[in-house]
Amino acid sequence: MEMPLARRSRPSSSRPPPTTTSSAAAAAEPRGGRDWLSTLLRVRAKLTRRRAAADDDGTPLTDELLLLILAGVPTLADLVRCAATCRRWRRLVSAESASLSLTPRRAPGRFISPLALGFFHHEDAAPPRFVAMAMASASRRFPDLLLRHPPPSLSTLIDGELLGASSHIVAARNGLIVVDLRRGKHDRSLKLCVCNPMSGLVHVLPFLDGKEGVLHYACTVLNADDSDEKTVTPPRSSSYFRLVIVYTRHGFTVFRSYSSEEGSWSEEAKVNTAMLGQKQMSFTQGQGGIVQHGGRLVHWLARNVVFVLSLETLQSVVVSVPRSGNGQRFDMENTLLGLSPEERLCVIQFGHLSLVTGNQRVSIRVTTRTDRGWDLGELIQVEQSLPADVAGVRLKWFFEKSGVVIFSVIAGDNDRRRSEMYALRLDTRVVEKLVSHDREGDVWGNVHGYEMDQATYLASLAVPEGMEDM
Amino acid sequence: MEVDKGKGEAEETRKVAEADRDTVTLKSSDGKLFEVSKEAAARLSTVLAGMIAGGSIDDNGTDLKQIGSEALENVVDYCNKHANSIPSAALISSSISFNTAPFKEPEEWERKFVDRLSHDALFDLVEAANFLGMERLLDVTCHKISEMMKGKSPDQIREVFNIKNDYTKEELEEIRQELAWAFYDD
Repeated sequence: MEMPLARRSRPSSSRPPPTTTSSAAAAAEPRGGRDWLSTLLRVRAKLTRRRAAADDDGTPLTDELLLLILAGVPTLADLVRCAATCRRWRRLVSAESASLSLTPRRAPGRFISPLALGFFHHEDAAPPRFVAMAMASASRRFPDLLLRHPPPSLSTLIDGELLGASSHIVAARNGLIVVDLRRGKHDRSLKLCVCNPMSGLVHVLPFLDGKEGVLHYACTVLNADDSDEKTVTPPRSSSYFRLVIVYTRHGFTVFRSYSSEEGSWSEEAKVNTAMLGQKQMSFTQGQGGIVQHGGRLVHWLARNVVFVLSLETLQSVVVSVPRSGNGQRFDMENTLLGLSPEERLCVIQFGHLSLVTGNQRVSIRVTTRTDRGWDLGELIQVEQSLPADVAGVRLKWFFEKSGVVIFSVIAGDNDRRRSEMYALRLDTRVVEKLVSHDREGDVWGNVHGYEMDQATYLASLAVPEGMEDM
Repeated sequence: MEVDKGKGEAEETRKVAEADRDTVTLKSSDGKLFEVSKEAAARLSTVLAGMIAGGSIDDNGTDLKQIGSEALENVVDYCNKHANSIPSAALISSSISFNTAPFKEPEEWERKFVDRLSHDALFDLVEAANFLGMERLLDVTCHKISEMMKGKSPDQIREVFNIKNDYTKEELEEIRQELAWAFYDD
């Protein structure tokens, strides 16, 4: 068995979920599955053992002192450039990735494109499946991920007994996914599970049921990658996470959070003064929230508005969303929320969308929130990368840290349809086709993009097997 | 008898005198002697504090064979400056305010103190601070070096640290491609 990257978090056995139903009883002792993205871990285990071999890089400093220095390097890009200087430094950065990622760092000021690994999607009643993106760095680092057939499913990570037909992902960011384990659409008992597929972390949260039950909610998850230089108490472990959730209770919007360090839910607290109605709440479900300012602000896209919550004060406001198309209407189905490299809130929408054969125009616009309001960005044309027989496009996911937008395309004629998925990198504006299905219909349901956490990324900088002796 | 008694008394006197002295003498690897405030040494260095408490301080100069005279001079200089400095208002207020950073930013005089050092002197001081268990000095010197990395290319970092580039041409090309996102200027 391979070493997990982050220490496998103890399932919440110290505070077992209330065991009032049989399904809850099954969850009382959740069995973590295996991490299914294990190629990377094999490489790492090997390097850890080999670290003792002295590499003379000409620096007199011991590993211990060098690590102190590397831990304090201001940005992730600086740390990556350090790893690029010589074999010893690269080995240190990858082998000690967990502790190096705990230091709060300044915002990167740029997109970190290699963090985007792939996406999860639902088909029918099967558990979410993962599709690896064949983008350059991911395929080099994780060849195993691309070759797997059938593609890895969430059921190999989370115990099958926990996953029901209605289980679905409700948030995905910083290497973590949040899965709603409830079995039926009207099950008010809230059963959430936080996983990191790369490390094999599976953490089932204590269930909220009975009077505490919740039907509609908006949530997101934060971890060490969110801390910045203003963070008061940085997390002590790289497997730390904090899940935050808002829902309606007695006509108010209330807030609760769960921290892996405390292992318990906070009490309900009232959010002031903007509120989020049940209908709007249901619209946010599945998108997760965008986290800004080192975890101090969370943004959720609700129907035609952005709901902004300060996690420090629990003050909330709503911000209007720019109209898409030619300024005529809201197209919430094709509106994604994200952050610019400068950490400004931004909205991704279609600028032009015309699929008339012979005169197709498809462009994507990133509108950025400034102090003056929404600032229209320039249009990024993508029709040149699409098939000539494109019949429909839909925006699917914005990868918060890597600046990648994925969108699905229906192509072909009425007799033979294809469903394809494309990725647009906002920094280089390169469009890549990711995958194609010879099927029509909602092949790409409930899509959630997956980005690695920084600790996993740094660990992945290890020299791949077979290259060491070159 | 008389002589022996006299010698014993002298020893006693010397010990008392040493206990009363408010400085300790440290000896570098190359034999140079430095005086440092006993109070500051005990407060800033866990190793010196242990030696003072354990009575293993030598009046003729406590041997610190691992530390060269230039680094030891900087250590002593830091201790003396620290003893004289009054914590700035900013540091006091930040230590009680809600927004305390995990690592307390260097004070102005600490910043100046490390800024004037050459790279080699800085690295020697990191090792000396580590050897003597001087947590704050280690933090301040490491912080300075960490900050020096900001925006530097791998070539520039190699130069600062005198690192031998042990990558092959092919590997360097691969690194440039794979880590491209981190390579363009800030």
